[in-house]
Amino acid sequence: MTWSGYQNLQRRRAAQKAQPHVTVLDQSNQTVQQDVASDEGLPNLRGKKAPAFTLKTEDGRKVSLADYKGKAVLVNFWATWCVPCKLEMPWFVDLHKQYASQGFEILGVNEDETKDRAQIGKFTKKIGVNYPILLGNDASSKAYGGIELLPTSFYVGRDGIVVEEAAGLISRDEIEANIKKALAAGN
Amino acid sequence: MQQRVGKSAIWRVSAVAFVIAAGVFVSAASAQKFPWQDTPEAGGKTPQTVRFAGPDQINVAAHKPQVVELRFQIQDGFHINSHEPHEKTLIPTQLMVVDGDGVNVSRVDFPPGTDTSFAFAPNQKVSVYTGAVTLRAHITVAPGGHLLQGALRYQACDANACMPPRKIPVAVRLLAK
Repeated sequence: MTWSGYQNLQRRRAAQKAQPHVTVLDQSNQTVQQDVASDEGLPNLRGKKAPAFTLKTEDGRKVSLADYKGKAVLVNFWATWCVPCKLEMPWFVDLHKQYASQGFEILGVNEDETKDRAQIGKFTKKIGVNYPILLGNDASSKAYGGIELLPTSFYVGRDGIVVEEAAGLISRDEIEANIKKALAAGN
Repeated sequence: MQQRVGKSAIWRVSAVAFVIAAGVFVSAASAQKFPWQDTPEAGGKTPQTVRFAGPDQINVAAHKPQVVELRFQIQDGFHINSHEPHEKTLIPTQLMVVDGDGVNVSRVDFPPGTDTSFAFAPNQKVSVYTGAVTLRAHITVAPGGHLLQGALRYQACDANACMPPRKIPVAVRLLAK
């Protein structure tokens, strides 16, 4: 399959060069500078500890990234209105089945507005999602660079370090390669 | 409350739905900020992919029903959902307006979207707008100078990624005689 994302990648990078730094407010309302120009609108977390979060599932259960210590984790930000997200989620389901026995887990972080979240369960059931779907919030998005493009995924090694990140749809083969990389890291 | 207009495949929104789409009823005379200002959808790190292309100012006949064409330009390489996307989960393009200030908007005609497939989902047709898009707002204006103001809410994607819904302001100065 040929992906037509290259030109879009070039365009987004060009747009980001024109706007190399953005100002964001941290939780204490202090202004901080964040470099988003480095790669594809991503926060460039590669080689850094994955930002911690605790989020709720639809049924109110609390899930933390820290609960998955020692496992390779794919943190996938997605929304029901994002068509490319819907394409890769069935791949995630298959890859989760394939690699779960090796210690691979997926956390789907939903970015829908609160008012639209009633449809998440129906949607994930239809796809057969076999991993936790968490309700994202401003803090979790901000911790991962603001999440301005969906889908956006972070591949976290067993040692809690981000080994790869991707904004926009990538191929199933690339996703699988990233999963293998995360499984191999921190052993 | 949407109705198909004749055979033209143009969709319109009634005045009631129009105000509901705005989320709130806002007096133009009020000094308060409008609902699309100071919200995440008005900001964001990624550049806007849609711009309001005018008109900035037009002369109109007072007290007469007439149409104002509101032009928008979508950045090359991007598309936005039409006013009538095929899936319930997709976010439609909507226009929100401020009621008052001597301007009454009775309805807005949206053009039909173009059914398009993308590389990421070749078997799925998505109803989208690309390039130039013109909405037709049906208005009646009191004599004098008035401001038709509102915002376009849209959700854009390119060939492999989507951006959160955004809003851009729309303002047209109306000189009614």
